[in-house]
Amino acid sequence: MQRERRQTTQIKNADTMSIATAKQPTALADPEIKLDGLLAEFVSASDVVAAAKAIRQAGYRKLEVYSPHPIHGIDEVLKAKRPPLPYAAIVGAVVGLTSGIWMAWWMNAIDYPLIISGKPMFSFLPSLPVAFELAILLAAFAVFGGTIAMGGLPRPANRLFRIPAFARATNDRFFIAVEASDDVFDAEQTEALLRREGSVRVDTIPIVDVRESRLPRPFVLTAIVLSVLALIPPVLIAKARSTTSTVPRISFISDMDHQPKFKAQTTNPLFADGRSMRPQVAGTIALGDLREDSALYRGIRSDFEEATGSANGSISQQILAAIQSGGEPPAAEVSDAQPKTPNWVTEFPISVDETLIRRGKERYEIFCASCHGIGGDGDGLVTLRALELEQGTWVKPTSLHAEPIQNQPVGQLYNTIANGVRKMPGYASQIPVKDRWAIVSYLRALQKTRTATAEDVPSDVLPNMRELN
Amino acid sequence: MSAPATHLSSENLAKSRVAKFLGRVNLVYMVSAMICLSLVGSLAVGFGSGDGARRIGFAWVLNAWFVLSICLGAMFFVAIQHITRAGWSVTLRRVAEVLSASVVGPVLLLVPLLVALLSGHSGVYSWNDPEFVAGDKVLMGKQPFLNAPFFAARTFVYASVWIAAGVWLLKTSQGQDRTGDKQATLLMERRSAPILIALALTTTFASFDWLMSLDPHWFSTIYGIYIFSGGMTAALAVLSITAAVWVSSGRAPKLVTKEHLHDITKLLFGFNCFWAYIAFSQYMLIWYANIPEETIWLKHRQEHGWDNVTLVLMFGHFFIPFVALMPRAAKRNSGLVIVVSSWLLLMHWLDLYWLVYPQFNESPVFGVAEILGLMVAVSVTAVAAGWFARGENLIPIADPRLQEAVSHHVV
Amino acid sequence: MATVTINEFDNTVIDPAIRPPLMSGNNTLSSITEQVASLAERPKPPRAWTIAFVFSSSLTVMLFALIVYLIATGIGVWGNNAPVAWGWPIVNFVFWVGIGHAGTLISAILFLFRQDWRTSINRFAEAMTIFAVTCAGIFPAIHIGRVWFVYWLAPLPNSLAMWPNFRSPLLWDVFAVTAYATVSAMFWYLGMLPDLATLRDRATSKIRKIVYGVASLGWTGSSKQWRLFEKAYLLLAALATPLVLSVHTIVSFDFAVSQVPGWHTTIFPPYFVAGAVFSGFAMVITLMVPARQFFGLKNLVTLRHLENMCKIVLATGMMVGYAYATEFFIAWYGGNQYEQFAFVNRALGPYAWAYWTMVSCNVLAPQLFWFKSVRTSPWCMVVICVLVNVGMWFERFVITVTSLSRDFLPSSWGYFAPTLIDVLMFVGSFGLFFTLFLLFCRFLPMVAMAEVKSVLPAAGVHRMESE
Repeated sequence: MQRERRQTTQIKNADTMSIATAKQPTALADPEIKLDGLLAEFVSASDVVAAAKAIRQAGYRKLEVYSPHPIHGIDEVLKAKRPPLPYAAIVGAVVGLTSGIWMAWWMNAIDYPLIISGKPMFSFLPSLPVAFELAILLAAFAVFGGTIAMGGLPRPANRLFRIPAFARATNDRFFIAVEASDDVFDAEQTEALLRREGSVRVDTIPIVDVRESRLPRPFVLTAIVLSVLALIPPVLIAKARSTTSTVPRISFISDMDHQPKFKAQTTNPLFADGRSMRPQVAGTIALGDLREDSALYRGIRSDFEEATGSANGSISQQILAAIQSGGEPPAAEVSDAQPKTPNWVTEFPISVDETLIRRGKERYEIFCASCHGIGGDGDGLVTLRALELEQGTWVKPTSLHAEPIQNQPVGQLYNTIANGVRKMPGYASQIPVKDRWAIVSYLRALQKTRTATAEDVPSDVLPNMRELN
Repeated sequence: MSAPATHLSSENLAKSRVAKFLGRVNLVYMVSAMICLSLVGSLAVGFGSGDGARRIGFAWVLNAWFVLSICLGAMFFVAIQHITRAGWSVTLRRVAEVLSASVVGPVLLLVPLLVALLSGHSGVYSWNDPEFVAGDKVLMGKQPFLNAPFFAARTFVYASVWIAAGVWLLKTSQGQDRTGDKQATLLMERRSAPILIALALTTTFASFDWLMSLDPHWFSTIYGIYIFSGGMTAALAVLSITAAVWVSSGRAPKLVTKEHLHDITKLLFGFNCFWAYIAFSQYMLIWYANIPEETIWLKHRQEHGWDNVTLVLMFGHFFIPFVALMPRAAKRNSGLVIVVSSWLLLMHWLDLYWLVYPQFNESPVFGVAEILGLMVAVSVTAVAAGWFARGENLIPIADPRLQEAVSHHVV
Repeated sequence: MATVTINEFDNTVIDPAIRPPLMSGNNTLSSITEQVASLAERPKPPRAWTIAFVFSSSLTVMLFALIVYLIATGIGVWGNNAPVAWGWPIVNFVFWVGIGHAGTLISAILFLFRQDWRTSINRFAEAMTIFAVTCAGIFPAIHIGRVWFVYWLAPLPNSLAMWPNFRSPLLWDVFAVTAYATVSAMFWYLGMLPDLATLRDRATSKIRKIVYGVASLGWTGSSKQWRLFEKAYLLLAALATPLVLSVHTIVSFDFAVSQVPGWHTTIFPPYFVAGAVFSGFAMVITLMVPARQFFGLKNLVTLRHLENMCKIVLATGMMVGYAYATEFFIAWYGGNQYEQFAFVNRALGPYAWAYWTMVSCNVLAPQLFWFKSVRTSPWCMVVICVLVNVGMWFERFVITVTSLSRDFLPSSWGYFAPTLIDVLMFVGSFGLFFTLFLLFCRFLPMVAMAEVKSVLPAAGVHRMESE
């Protein structure tokens, strides 16, 4: 029955067979001629699916279907495995995500910490956008690379391309290629089966000499030349990074590299004194240095205050007041007389409260107590040590409870702290203005401890004090 | 296009297991009604007490919005399926339509809150307290908007739109069951566009009114979309559970298959990612600009125990479902889908809790009030759903695209 | 009910029980190959193409000349200055990136939603994406001034031992746009492999054989390759979808993370994404209508395709309008006087002309798409879509310039005006875009032949999906 059918189909397809095999000698005639397989052409997708099913049922395993578009259902027929691309994508995504987060952490918080407007050095949230993008990019690379690699691409030379009919595989026809190395393969029987299942044409797949499918020489030479040329920039960069140069670099944009401006500490022919750095204009005061409040900053009451009784005698106010009152603006004081005693303020220019005094205590114990002692008696540790060493250059600090010091106005005490007196250096550079006043307030409190009487003590504290004595 | 094997007729369906399922709906209806009545009764007692009233108010708002957001999400789903002429979802659409019409339930839940507001109660919405507002320049500026009468009028408008749209969508579809009129499909498609616009605007402003104004100083332009995305995710979770139950129980073997389950779960996965994206955007922008007026809202949610809730939300609402639902096989596994979807419903509740409760208390509180509120809200909505589904098919048997849905196959 | 145009096959007729054919005419596998491949195989291009190409390449040459001038002279040739330090360059950048998003949406997102009608337009749209992103990338690259240090933007070891600032959205942009360009290119190329193989197999001249042969990497169309192809396509689509959302989100972060009134608002991310899709689809329609006319593709890109795209334009336009309304309302509700002023200033201040252009083009013009007659009239669509793109450029302009020209301190206010270089460079970027596009039309397969074939009824596929 089968043989009859085969004969019938053979007769039926005689015409097509003769046309199909007109140019190529069929392998059927001479079993000695070697072939690599058979390629059958089909007209429609459903045809090729049915044929593939039948061929598999007949026991063939090494077959492949070619089509101009993906055929649904072919995977089940061929019992093909799903490609593991999703796993590649996941690996790429995880690598991208972790490297994004790692970069944000290591580069911005560890290697070269960047301080950006109060934001934490590393925070998970802002590292997410970069990590997310990298995850997708690397996953896409993995998918793309995996597809190309697993698809056996690039493979420009394929023995199937030598069959002219195969050109329609990317156009409108469908093909099944059965390998000769398949166990069940038999040139005659396989061809007959293919024709039975509806193929309109069967070609032999030629065995191709491996040498013939090598890349043509021009390609290889070009590739070698290009690769060598591509090595040049990295080599140059490496050389530049590891050596020093005695010549200045090439400037493309000269007006950025050589700017027409004068730099510090160079000569300048435009000015008479030849200096690029210009001295300050007379009367220039740096920002924050206009210390107008004489009482606060110097502990001295200005003449303006004397005259008008107002506390803040700024220079501009003095001038303004003088003009308004129709008088003369205050003249610069130039006289040969003895330098008169400065008009020390006797009242604190800032409000004194417990906080200030406590601050003063703290500052006193930092800066002053080392010489003057905790109690102000001039028995600080430095003094004691100096006396022990019997250094003649050491002058014992005055006791702060001595009467002259008790009688000094607060402004004078302030001035002593700021500018020093006799052997004591000035502490203006170490102690800010308000702290100096705090120390003065504390001094007064210290002095009070030696001069206070019972009346000065609050009534609720007094009973306890009597007991101590 | 090749014809699928199934032949459907109303007679077949009437005899099918779908009809049996409908019988159970009546039972659900009755039981829900009983639970609902008893709960409302007990809550009425609770309402009487002073400070408890504030807590019950918050629990009420939270749970009413939980079910409201699900019903609105379902309505969005129905409208989108109509406007895109979707064929695959036809067999699931009736459930979503019933859920949309059930918006009547949550709307009823809002009524007692409106009554409380109109009578001057300001425990929940501080802007309703004239003294509180009087001392605050910013709140004085908002008064033309944030006042009880205008608020109630707006809510009335939203509710009208929602009920009209939801009920109309359901009734038109149910009507088509009887007449088989294709024009109904075209009509629903045409009307879905303006319905979507109306839904977008009403959902946005309702969320501003009811949820954002809980903290009347704070504002965020993305808030409406945030609530929408959460509600949509929750609605899709309900639909996924429905599909999974139908698939695993074999109740409607050819009508709802693993293919439908796969697709609805895919949508759920996608919308959950969308929710996470919106939540991240809001957080990132407020964090980055660091403006105290805005960050205070986040600060409340990062201290005194709220930080734990934030972490649970981050991992529970996004990361874990993301990983769980990503594999293809997971989306086709009914058991897993039921578990993950139920979890997502819980997470949606937690999301709303995280939005609402920091205004109530400095640290998270959870107790009878919240549970009772949830039971009331769910049972009221279930009653509404049962009411609308009563006596009708749970699958649109005369939808012109039913054949497509039946033969749907995810490639 | 349905509009029937005399010259065109109208497949927009709606009978809910029937899915109208995706394409018109008697399309077979070979007719599609012949129709699309022959466009790329013509020995001489049509005259219209040559004229357009000459025009666009001259604009491109102008662009490159201006870039050289800019780098040699300095950024001062632009109008950017205090207080508006961000001017046209960033507006152009956001404009072009936004346009690119439609291509990825058509390729990736519509693929995930199984919208088979996308197969006729996706190759075209993806090409548009690649070229739009190219034009977009030029502006940030040249605006840094010392372009030879552009590698400092990347985390590469450099002579300062410094790394880029990972907390800045401007750096996130670098990663986002790079990833977007690369992934889009890979997606486009992968999708083109089968079609390049078709051209290879039909090639007659040796040069064409070699070029298409190398480009197609030896694709044979085996089931194994198709299996990989489909899986890869699905995965890349699944990756490209969050990518396209994230890229424009990160672009919006450039503005929204700041404290500038009018910029700092949480709705920016989804609003920008919707706006990008809006402008992108408008550009696809603008290009597609003449292309299908001149290249004879009306049977593959039918009225239904155009109508669907118009609906998407309408939907995303409504989303943009929604964002405008929400921003405006919350500006009032928030009580922040600077924010309130920013919005009043947009509508009534010195840039009111730009604002009202934006509103009429973005909100009003697309409303015409409610009418089916407009949705199915190709040249009407083009007019509206050009207006949409104008409106979207103005939207970025309004956002950037109005907020910067008048922010917190009135003493710092200033009016920004572009220079001739700004304008000419923008025009030149269109030249580059169209040049690349015309080259694509000439040498590459404009329609995804393999994908179109796979959704033909002849393919015997049971795909009854939604539109």
